[in-house]
Amino acid sequence: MSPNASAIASKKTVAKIMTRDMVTLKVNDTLRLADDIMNLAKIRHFPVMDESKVAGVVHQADLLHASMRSLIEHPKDSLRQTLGEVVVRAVMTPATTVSTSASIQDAARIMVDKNTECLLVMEAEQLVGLVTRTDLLRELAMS
Amino acid sequence: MIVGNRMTKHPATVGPEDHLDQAKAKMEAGRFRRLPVVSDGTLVGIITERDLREHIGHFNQVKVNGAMIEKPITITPGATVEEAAQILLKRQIGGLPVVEKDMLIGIITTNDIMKAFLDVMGASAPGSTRVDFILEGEEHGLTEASRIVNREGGEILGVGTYLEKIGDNPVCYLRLLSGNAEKIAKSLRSGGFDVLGVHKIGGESKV
Repeated sequence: MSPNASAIASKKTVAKIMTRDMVTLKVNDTLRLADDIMNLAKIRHFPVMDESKVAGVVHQADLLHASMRSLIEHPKDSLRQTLGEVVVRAVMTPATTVSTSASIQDAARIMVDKNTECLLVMEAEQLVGLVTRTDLLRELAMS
Repeated sequence: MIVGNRMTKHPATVGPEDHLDQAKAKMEAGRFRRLPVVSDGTLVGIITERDLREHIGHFNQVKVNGAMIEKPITITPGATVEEAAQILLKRQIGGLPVVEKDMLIGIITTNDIMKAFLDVMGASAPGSTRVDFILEGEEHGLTEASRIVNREGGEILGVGTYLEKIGDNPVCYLRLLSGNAEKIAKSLRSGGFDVLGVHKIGGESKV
């Protein structure tokens, strides 16, 4: 490796800052479950799994949009009722992933380009962690 | 790096007497998560997606001033981007209205700030490039791509993927060291890879 390579490669990776303890949802879970966990656990992002594979992500804003749409279509239903009838698969968005070896800068650049709220961290096609916008902003601000 | 150079100038706004359905329509149209609330040019509040949520089902009855956050945290155009970042992190919020003598002149969000930091880092660490291409089955997979990069003498510093849409083939990005990323991209193309772009850190993108 050239000196330049080691300088860049030795920069902090996402593996160092990611959250390993994640709460995941299944594609057929209801939005009511997602909403309850978001409120109780104060979590805003969930990886969504289809069996053992990552199918997408759900962010708090996706839930808001879905509940607004449903209430416009079914104005007489209560919010909780509506959320109980929609499954996560219907509102999830594509997951943006990075490898555990990705640098903080690369991860941040992808997040800025894609304007996503979180990145899933993968190793050998397995989900191993999650980094949020706040995590990356904190790292950039401290460097 | 000061906020004035990194903020979005003349952001979309709503008035305190507007109804929430107008706020929602503006947020959706511009994909904004928050809107400053302005009366005669003066900032009087901010309304976020979360505030809308409290009033679902009543958007045409509730006015913005009945749902907004009054006296939001603001920043001045002369403040540093670092200061703005600290405030956003400490308060756990995503954007700050930028004001000068109570008049709204812009808004700065986490995305603006991250971009600013990345530009500065890119300028001080030249020589690395990102190549994005579509991953498609075995033949146009990662193993074959890294083989081509190695053959061209490239050095891979990092790898990741992202999806534009559910159901699409994933896009793979390779972070490469060295100045011959253009040549590597060309070889990937001749190898049948659909190369989407070559991005120099901090520099202009080339497609």
